[in-house]
Amino acid sequence: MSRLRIAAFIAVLGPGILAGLSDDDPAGITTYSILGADHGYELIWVLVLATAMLILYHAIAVRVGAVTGQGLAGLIRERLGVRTAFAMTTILIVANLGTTAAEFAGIASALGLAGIPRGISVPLAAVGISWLVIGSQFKRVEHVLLILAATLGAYILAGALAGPDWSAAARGAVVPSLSLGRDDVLVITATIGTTIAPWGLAFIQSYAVDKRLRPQDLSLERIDVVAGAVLTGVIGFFVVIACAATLHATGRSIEDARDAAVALEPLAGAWSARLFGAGLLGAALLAVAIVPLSTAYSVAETFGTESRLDDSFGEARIFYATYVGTMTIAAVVVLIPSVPLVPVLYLSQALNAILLVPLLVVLNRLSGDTQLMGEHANTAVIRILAWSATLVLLACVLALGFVSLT
Amino acid sequence: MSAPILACTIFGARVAIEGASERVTDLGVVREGEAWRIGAVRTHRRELLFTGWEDGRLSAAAARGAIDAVWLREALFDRQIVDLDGRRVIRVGDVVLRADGGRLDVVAVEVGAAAVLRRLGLVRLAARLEPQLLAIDRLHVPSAAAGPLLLDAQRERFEQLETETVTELLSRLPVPVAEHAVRESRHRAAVARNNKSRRRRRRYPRATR
Repeated sequence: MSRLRIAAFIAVLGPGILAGLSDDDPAGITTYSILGADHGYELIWVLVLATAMLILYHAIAVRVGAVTGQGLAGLIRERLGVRTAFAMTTILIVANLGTTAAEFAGIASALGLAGIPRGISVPLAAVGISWLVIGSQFKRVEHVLLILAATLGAYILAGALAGPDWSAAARGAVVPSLSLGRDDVLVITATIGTTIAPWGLAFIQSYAVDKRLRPQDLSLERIDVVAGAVLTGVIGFFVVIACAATLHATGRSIEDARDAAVALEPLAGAWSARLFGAGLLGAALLAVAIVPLSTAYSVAETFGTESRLDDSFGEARIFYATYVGTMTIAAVVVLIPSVPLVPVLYLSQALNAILLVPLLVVLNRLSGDTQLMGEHANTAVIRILAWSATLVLLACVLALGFVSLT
Repeated sequence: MSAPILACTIFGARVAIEGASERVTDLGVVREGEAWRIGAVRTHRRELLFTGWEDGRLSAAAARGAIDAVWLREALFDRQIVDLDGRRVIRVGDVVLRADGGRLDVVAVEVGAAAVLRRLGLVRLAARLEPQLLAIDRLHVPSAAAGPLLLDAQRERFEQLETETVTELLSRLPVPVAEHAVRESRHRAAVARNNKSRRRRRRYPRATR
């Protein structure tokens, strides 16, 4: 790679890394921890499958954004009408509120390990992240978010320190094993569902537009998308093997990522547990910045007032008001003890599942539309892969609905 | 001159066709010089020739052969407006028409939240907001099929722009659409050259870097 090409790559770096790694949020880390604690190394292949689907769909969303210059909600309004865009954005608003609340709960859990009460940690995170997003230019926001994303590397160290069985892990990654028990279906669908989320798709497309990516940037941007998705999968892999080597080996079960950090201490050492806690905090802070951004981009696009992170508050009122509103409501939900957090999280997961398949169908159609995408429309191979991935995700959503109701 | 009419209020209304009537799904513009004059009506079944507007009622007649019109839903509704620096300004929410002696002309587009709320059925809420209008002659529509509408770039100004600016503005459009947009323009050769290199880059992504 020439020096010029490396500089060009650094310039386009961002959307893939941030959208990918924010999928490794507290809900994701919890799912991976349970995957490792309950099933050992057996189901690592599910992570590999989820990573492949993440590469495919993030690459499609970035390509549509760079070629059309429009975010997902804006494009849906243009091609499918204002009612469809409004319906999609309304579901996204509610689902993202629940997801943001889950991210705040993750921050409260991670800092709770250090003895900081949620009454301090949650408002501090909400004000700090809002101040960063509203008061800073695009480049500074991106740099801070990339630094936050780097803290997820703590999971790689935590996994390595736990002393995993590498050959069993490698076998689990390439040899699919499956039993159709209720728990297996739940953990498989949760793993795939937590990796590919509607807010991630809405965010990456709008963010690519905000970053002013052009069709000529796409060949380098693909590296960013692949690197982001692979890192997401690698971090998930290390979380799974950390829990498989310790919790699964001793037959212990956990409820969430905080449990995993606490339970790791006597089994893998204090450093492994601390790194697990630090990773959880970084993951939650990154996701709590990004999930409301996907709401803000989508609401602004639906109302036709497309905005950028470079805009001032006066120039982008709908955008920033939506961002701050989402942050505030989600933080309040986590802070009020009488608000039951578990039903809120279930509702947001259900809405994410309902929204995901229609969004993928819309993305498949938009990215294959030659009138819109010209020479950048899906090739036959991508078309087949995209529709196959949509069918897999539809099967996951249906299976999850079935086991939840029975 | 009568009061302005919003295109959205005509969609779904009935058009009289030689003793029968059908529901309007779209209106087509046939350009007459600078005027954006309604010349065609689309229903669920067919495309018709617009024959008049009287007392709030449309009338149309069967067409012989295909109608060459720019359809409002495709060319204007919900399309993004960008300025000449490529900044996204706002999106078209509705189209404002004016009746003049049985004719209907497009005079402006409505932008902003009021039009969106009205189309969602939230009429009372929409009425509390000030409508924002942009005169139609401030917009240039490079393509009726895809891509943004350009603000303050009428045909003459479009021709006066630097060729580099036009090439940049059209670089997001699919190659055939970009070529169609400048088919009668002095920028045609430059845009075609740029499109040729885009095609080559697409085929051999490494060779040009």
